Amino acid sequence: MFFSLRHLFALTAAVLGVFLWIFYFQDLPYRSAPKQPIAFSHRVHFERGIACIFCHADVAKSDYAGMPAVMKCMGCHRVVIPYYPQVQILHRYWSEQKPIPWVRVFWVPQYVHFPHQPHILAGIQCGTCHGDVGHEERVSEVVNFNMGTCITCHRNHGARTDCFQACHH
Amino acid sequence: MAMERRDFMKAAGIAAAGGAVAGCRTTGHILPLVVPDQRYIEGVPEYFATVCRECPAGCGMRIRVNEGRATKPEGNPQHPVNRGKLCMRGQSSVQGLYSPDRWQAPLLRNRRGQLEEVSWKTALGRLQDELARVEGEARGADAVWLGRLETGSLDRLIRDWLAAFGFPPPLYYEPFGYEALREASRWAYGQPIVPGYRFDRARMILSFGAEFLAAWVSNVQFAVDFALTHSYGHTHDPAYFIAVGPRVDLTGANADENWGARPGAEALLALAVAERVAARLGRPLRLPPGLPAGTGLDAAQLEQATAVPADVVERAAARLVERRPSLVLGPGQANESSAALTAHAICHALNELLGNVGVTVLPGAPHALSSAARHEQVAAMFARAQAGQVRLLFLHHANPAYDFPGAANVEAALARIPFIVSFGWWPDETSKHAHLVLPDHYPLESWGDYEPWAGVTGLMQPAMRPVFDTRPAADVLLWLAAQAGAARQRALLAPLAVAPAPPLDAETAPPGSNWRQSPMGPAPNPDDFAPPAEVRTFDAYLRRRWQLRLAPAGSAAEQADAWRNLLMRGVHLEAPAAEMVAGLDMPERMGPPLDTERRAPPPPPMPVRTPAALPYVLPAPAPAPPPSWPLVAELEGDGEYVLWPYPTVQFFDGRQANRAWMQEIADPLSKLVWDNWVQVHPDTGWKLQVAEGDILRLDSPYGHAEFPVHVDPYIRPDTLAIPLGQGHRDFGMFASGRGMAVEILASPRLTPAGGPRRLGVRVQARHVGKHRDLANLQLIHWQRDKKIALATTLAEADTPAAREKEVRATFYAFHPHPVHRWGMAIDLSSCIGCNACQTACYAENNIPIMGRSSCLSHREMTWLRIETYGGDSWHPSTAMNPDIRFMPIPCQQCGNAPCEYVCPVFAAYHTEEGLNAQVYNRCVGTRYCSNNCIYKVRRFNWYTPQWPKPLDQQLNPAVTVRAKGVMEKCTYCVQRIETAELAAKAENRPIRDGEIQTACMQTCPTEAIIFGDLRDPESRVSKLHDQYRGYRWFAEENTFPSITYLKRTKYVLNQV
Repeated sequence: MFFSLRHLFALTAAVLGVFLWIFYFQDLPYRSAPKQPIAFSHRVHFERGIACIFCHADVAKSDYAGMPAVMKCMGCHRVVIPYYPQVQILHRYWSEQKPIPWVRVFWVPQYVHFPHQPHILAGIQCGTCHGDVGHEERVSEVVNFNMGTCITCHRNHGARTDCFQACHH
Repeated sequence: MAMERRDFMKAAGIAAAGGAVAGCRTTGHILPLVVPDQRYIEGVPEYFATVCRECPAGCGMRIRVNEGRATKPEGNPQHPVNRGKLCMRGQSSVQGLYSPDRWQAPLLRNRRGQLEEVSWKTALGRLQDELARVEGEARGADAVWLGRLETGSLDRLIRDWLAAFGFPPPLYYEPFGYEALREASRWAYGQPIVPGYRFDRARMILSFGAEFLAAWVSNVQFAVDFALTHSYGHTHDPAYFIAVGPRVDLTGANADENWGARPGAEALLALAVAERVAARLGRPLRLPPGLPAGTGLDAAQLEQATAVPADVVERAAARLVERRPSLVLGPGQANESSAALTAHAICHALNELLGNVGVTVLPGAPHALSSAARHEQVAAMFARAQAGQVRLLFLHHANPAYDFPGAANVEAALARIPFIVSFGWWPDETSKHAHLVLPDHYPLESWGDYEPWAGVTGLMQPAMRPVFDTRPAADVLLWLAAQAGAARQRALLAPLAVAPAPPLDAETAPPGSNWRQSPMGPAPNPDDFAPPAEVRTFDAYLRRRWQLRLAPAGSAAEQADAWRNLLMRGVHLEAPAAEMVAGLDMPERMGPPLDTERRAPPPPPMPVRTPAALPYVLPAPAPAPPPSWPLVAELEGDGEYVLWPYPTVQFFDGRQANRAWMQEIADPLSKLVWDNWVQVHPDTGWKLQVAEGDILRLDSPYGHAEFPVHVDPYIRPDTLAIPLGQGHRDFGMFASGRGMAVEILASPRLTPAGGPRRLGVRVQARHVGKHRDLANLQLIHWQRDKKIALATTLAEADTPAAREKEVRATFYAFHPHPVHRWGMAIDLSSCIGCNACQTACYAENNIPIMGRSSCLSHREMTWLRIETYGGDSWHPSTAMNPDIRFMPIPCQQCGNAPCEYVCPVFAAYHTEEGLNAQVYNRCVGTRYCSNNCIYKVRRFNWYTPQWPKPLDQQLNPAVTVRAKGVMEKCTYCVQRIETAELAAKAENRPIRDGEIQTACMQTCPTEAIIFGDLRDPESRVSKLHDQYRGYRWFAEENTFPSITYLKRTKYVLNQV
């Protein structure tokens, strides 16, 4: 028996160590790009000159950026490529008067308060956090949403870094 | 307009269901609206004006709605009754809305006798059959409507519907029905009404038991007005308040003088005061025939009969003569007795003698309670039911099987009614007898209007989609009428037919015209017109009725506009309103009354106008005038102790007992939670050999019950007091089985005025050898030499003598507060201890409910507590005149906080704006901070907080829901601070003083709590900090708190 329990321990420890090392020290591009109910391409819309705020209209007014109502999508797609298969899915939601269950990509934990409004008013570009969505087919989480990211940016912009009053309340 | 909102609510509800339940920001899906709404911005809370229907007071409410969920009730500042404030019952309305006990669908009793869920179609079909059967038997008069008090459109609809089907008019049953007061008003003013009151004008208040700060008529309104006239924070000439009663209740605790009068002697005492006042004024007292003009007792006899020394009575009479205008109030709910009518009549006479009528007592502006049925009428109905003469009973939020005197007889009568329909919200003692349950919308989901005072009408609109599969009772009535044929439908819709301009003012109305009874003018012949086709639901009925009333000759667009404006404002005012409410001639009360103005001279008395026509349909008058005017209440039984059942601010008549907040928030005086108890004087406890928590068996002539003992000195030794409203047998998960109900002991006989005899039995008491621990959240009510809740005398209040010495020294530099330092001033002379702030805090900050066993080990989670201090219990000078002080205690947000130094993980630290922060996600639960806090305001989550569904829908999404193992505390509503700061930044302006309102400050009826920026020397809070009577609690500990308490100001100090 040349593979003793001691070896097993060592091996396990080594594997765990590698995982921990990757987890803590390697800033992996944290990509999660879930499949959406409609294969909506931000790129196609962006390249035709539609600004983010056209659809995410509440971003300067609210904590949330807001998702466009189904009716808003239909405003264009009633006439724009109405027979494209993916647009047909949209039509189906509209005819059933149901909301589209978009899969959430960007989120912060419940104990973090992230209001969009002050960031937009301070002139922060959407891409700073959301990545180059305008050139993505399927939205993915490019920026690692950890506290370091927030703090670094807040420091660079001279924004508030009070743990409690700025974020965690 | 209405349909638009409905659609939007539908969509918003969908969005809420998926994504926005607090704590679920990380869930998988984002659901957009299907149809956008221009006025709706996701994430920005909306406010809808509506009416609080938790009690008949009818305060205006503005309810906050987050993503389609009603989350926080607040007062409507434009409503003249409550002027932006709410009591704890109003704050708990969202817990009623999301009550886990609510009926979720119609129920029908099946063959096995159990209630079984059915579809609305089946349920309504069954009701139709039953109606047809009653009509077929030609016994229409045997159907009875027994409901809570309704006014305005719903009242009209119910009356028209019952008339269309040939049923008798509705019985609006209110357990607190004010029969004696109304009957006395009939003698004094010609109409059996509850008159209006203006406490703010009174320079002296003498109350023979009216609990006007807790549960009497309109307690928020009276608390606001009372503070205006009695708090040193609002006036430097405070009114002198004498409270009479065998027990110091919440109202009496705010009195300057308590008379521990013998229970039942109120009428005699009132007459003694009245005859002395009459002698001093040299004018005769106008009393009802049959009542002697004087007591005919000498000083010793008077003291013997009432237990109040004659010189005390004499002094009060002198004060009444000197301090005019004043206000004399009769007995309240607790001492509604056989002599209450006499006492009220004497009080009316005394008010007239002192010139108060038209100044502080306004018979021209009666309250909606005037139209409640008398107990006697309800009792007659139950007698008929017992005899098998009631075929069909409609129950509409009335619970007589719990609160009617002689509830056992009521149960027997209910069992004999062949078919009972309940338009209820949840199961209770009465509706468990129902054969058919048609669950009603909760008021926060309903359309409606409510007119608490003649001329003041609040509008109700749904704040959200219904939580369950419910339907408004009014919709069911309209549907039934439509099904029953065109003639009946036309009769029901007659008020919507024509629209001559309604006279807006009684003065301008043509003489003899019934100007209020039918604002739409005379009803036309129903056969002359076709019913408006669109009126199928109550919201259409209401809208049409109001559009006709607001703009009778206007175009459709004008009418829609008027209606929308009315909904936004939430209240409609007409002629008698102006003389009714202090808010109308004092709109700027919210301003800083710092250099308190001298009291304005009282206005000239209004003409005593007995209203020719009331907006309320009064119940049929009592059959015969009361034969005699007893001066002393009849007490049945030969027991040694008088039973004193009293209403509390939290449970009212018992209808709020099914709210977890009401159970968990400590009773203002006893500080007990989750239980029912009997209050026993220490001497009596010694005599009976019982201590706190021992079970006492009480035997009255009508029953026996067992209660745990609460020993408390502020009660006469010959009296045993038990709060009303607990001891439900079948009232949901929070209220059921909390001890026994005091109603078991009460007399089923009624008073001469047709009311209940709440004060009417003597009981025997004995210890049965059992014990039950009572959860008491404040064990010691005596300050000893600790300087906690301080007071000063009127003479010294504004002088340097009132100033406390303060230390401020530290080794380290003080925290810099570069921009703001948030702080509070809490005026102890304004605080009446009503617990509204505490409930508002629970609602705003997602504070979990822990339950009885946790409260027993003092693991309650409240962020804001109110400590109540009296004197040494056994000291003779404080026995019945206790100088009680209420002290609201949120986190003191120390400038030099003991909690901050000891946190090993930097979860507790000092923010740059002066808050003692608590970063929940960083906290590891060492609890060092709580150990080191000298104010004991930090709370530790010993368990995972639970919100039985759907109570979790009430959670405020702006506040983190804390987990087990985490310390939490008051943060001055940091989410509101941040919202205001961001709004100010977006508009590029400084934050205005008063812009940030913490939840407690917002709801405080007396404005005892003021929040603001201490760095701004001009802010209201800074100025209050500079007052002589301001002190910082435990300043000698060098904590440098940001809260300054202003000493309670009393005529005389007698706390030891």
